[in-house]
Amino acid sequence: MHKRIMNLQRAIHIGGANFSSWIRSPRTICMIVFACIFVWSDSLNAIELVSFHPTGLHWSEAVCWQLSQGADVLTLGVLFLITITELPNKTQFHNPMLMRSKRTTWLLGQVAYCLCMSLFFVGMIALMSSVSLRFQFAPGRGWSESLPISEGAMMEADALIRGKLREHFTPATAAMVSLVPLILFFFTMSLTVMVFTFLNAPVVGSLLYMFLLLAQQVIQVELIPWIKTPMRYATLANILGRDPATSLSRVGESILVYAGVLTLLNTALFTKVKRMDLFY
Amino acid sequence: MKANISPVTRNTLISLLVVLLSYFSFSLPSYFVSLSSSIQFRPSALQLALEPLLFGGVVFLLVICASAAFAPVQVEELQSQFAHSLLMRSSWRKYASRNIGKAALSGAIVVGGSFLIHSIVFNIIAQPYDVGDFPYHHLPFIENSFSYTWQHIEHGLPIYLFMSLCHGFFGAVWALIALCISVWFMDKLLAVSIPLCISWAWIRFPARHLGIPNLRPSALVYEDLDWHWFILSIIMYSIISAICIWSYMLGLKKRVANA
Repeated sequence: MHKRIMNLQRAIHIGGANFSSWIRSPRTICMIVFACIFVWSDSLNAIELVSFHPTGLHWSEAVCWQLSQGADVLTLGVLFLITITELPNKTQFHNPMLMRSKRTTWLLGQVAYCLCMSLFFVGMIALMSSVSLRFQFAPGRGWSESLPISEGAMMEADALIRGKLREHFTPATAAMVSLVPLILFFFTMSLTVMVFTFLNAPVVGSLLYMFLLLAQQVIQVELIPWIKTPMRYATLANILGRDPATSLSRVGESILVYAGVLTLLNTALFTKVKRMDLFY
Repeated sequence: MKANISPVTRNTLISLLVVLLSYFSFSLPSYFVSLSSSIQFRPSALQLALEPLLFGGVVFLLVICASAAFAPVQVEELQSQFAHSLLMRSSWRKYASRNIGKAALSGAIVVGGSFLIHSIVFNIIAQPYDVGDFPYHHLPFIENSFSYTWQHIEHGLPIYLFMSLCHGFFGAVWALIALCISVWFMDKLLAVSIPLCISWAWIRFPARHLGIPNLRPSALVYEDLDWHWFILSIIMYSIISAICIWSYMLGLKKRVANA
């Protein structure tokens, strides 16, 4: 038991050290600055759109709506991909870390590092959205659209926030729920890039994911129904689709899809790392 | 490493191919679909040449390909310290001016050259622009631009030439921006991605919210340009180029101070 805790501590140290070096790299700093700019400009567009809405929204509703849309997730995905093209980081302490820990512990540290990056990036998006929207929207409680819809003054199809979300969550908890697909989307992206690095094809991994991100824009992949790109599961709005009657169980299904993909990626990582020479 | 005097590097050729591929992947399907209709209702070569810019995603690729044309070569020279060896035989000013020229020329070749090649191919395989004989060739979106008066001259040849020059200038400026970034960051990926991010941020910059005129970064590559926006764009891009050249010289001087 004590040994396991020691291994876990080592993994956390490895992940933390890698994360610390990632956050200080010029590449990451530049991309975070641009990500903040894009989230801010997306917030301004959201403000413009909401200004035409019959009921208007208060601050937490506006944050919930923007996060459910992903706050320009396509561009942010590309920026995140640029920061993680060289996963796992070849830091100065890479070799000493390998000498002092087992392969599985080292890899667990790398997975923790990927999770930290995803959490940080999504946290940054949420914070920037909240701050930029706070200047235009007053704080409030409850759902502004529920009363006009129940009175028949407004159609459910015209609502910005889904009826199912309004039924089951408060604006703040709905905003938190919107973050889950985003975190899983970025985490899957980082693990995929890492798998390709261990397969000696780091550029292929980044390019493949870049293609998957942009496929919807370039080749109109939505016309082929059986192809599901990662963008399909990236945001709560994409998961729920356009039909207002879609049940929230689809979110659960998407989380199961993510769980399946993440299990596959982790299995591939652990199998490969156990057999390879790590002094690359 | 070998000193390369020509502005056409391997990167330039790859970038040119990528832009051409994206141009043709949009316009060729339109051309083949149009073959089934009668000759009176087929799109003109001018329309097919402009379609990928108006309706495709080529504009986004222009910036990234212009940046990738030369900036990575500069990063490689600095990282491998090959630049130091070159500087032993000449002054840093000569080296800088040569690289500025090479970067601008390679950016211009990638963006302007690809538009010209694409237009030439469609003038060979499709019906050349002739609004007199084929009223269907009329392009309503160029009515307010100054190129509208040139449409009857030699099947719109001045429009192609003018747009190629504008594209070339656009490519040269973005290649200079990438060159300036390459000397400060010394990272190939950043040298290519920062110009793209700048152009994206510029396109999304909510100028109308702040009450200032919205000068599009891609105004020069569209065909609906009037004299007012053309002059404004040229002034704006000239200022940006001057700042980039000054910043590049400053960065290079700092990098090779002990060479």
